[in-house]
Amino acid sequence: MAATPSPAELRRIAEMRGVTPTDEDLEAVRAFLAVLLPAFEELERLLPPQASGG
Amino acid sequence: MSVARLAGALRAGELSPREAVERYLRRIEAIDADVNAYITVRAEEALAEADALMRSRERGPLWGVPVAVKDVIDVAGTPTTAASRVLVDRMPAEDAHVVARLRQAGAVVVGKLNLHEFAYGALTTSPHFGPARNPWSPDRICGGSSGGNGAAIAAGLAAGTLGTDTAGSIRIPSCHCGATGLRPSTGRVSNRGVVPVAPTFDTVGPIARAAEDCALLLAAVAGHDPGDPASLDAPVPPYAEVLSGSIRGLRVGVVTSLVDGADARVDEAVETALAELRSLGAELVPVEVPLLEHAGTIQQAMQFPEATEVHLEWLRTRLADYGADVRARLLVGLFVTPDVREAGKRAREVACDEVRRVFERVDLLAAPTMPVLPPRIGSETVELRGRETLYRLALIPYNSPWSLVGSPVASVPCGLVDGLPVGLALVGPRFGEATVLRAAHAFQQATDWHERRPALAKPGAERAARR
Repeated sequence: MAATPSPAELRRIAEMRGVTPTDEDLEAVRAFLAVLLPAFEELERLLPPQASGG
Repeated sequence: MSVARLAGALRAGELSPREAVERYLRRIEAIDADVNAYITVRAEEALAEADALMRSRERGPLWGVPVAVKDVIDVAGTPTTAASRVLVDRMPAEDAHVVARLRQAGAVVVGKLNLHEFAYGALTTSPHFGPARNPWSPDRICGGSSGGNGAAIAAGLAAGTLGTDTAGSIRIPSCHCGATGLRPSTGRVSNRGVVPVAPTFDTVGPIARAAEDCALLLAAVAGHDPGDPASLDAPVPPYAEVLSGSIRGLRVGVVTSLVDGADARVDEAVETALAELRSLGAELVPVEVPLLEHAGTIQQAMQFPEATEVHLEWLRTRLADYGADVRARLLVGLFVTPDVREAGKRAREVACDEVRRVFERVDLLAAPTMPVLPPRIGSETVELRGRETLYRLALIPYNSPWSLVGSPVASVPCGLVDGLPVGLALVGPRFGEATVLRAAHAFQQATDWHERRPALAKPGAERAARR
């Protein structure tokens, strides 16, 4: 199961998009991601594999 | 007074548009401080517009009816704040398409309604404009994001309103405030001139007293707008004219997992409502909807990054101006990968196919609108089936499935638990608004839940509030 990214990793990704969140913001984001990321993983497992197109 | 009754009284000359507007302005002045439904009241403009209607020969179906719109919907010359500090200086030069259509029908916009900041949450507790208070119990939330709409209808501060719904924002406050709301099929109504949340799922729709009112409001605003390419060029039925049909033989699929998952007291009210539909001739069929438990995840895989894209420039330059919860939600979208978003799109197509197949067997689906009663302002959790649950998570399985597939849904008042309203959700197939409204109207002809009013809204409340 995907671990929730560290605050440092989240900050790096946010700054790549030009956004500068506070430490508090990143803690709140991690709380969301702790629920979302496992659900997203399960969703990708549920779907039939995509045709390769070849 | 309901939209339908007020429009009839105005047509009959029992009161003038100015008198109707004055009546609502007086109520707003006396009561709104207790519920905080409005962000902006257009008193002078509304009176001038009412006077202009009296001079005009045009008599549209909403002639002189005072209405209000959620403060994400542009009204020319009136600020659109979206209940956010980010937009506090935004002054639109043009009406949103739906506002132009309301005006064509003769309605008078008396003001702009409170909401969850940027329509991105279900509490309507804006840190910038204050919470909308539930007229049934002012220490409780109205739900959201169209919380001001729910409060305005419950307290009698507008005859009808327009809200918006991305993942439940019309249905939730309608349910918690004892109003009737309709989320139309996505694409049925233009979103031009409306601050977006996530365009794939956004739609404007009515919140009012009764299904009949929603039909009149929807008839005024539905239809293709060449200025909004996402609005569909599909025929619009005469909604107000299709209400009177019988629902005998209508096949209503009861979504048993949602009924069984609700608070037992909500469940009981909904079961009673379903029995009423059966007594009116509907055939109740238990159904399970495939992928229902994943609908929230699928919607979020698309909605989070879409909403973040809408806000990206402000996130870069105005981050501190957002309230903490909306800021966090918008930042989450930065971390949803393109692969996840693509999986969401593919899963949505599967879900649409599955729901289409369900509607080959039934005409409508029924479920509780919300599984719980509105929590107290400041509380983020509710007790559900003996477990402390986050309110924002409890609402997802009841609202996201229908947003995901773009279905029309009405929330109809169907009971009171501890003095707080409970709502029945009636879900139709894509563009099945007429059937949804017909069933809702039939239910309301046989029950009076939609007529119940909180003490705050009863005659004499204005005088009491003034003291």
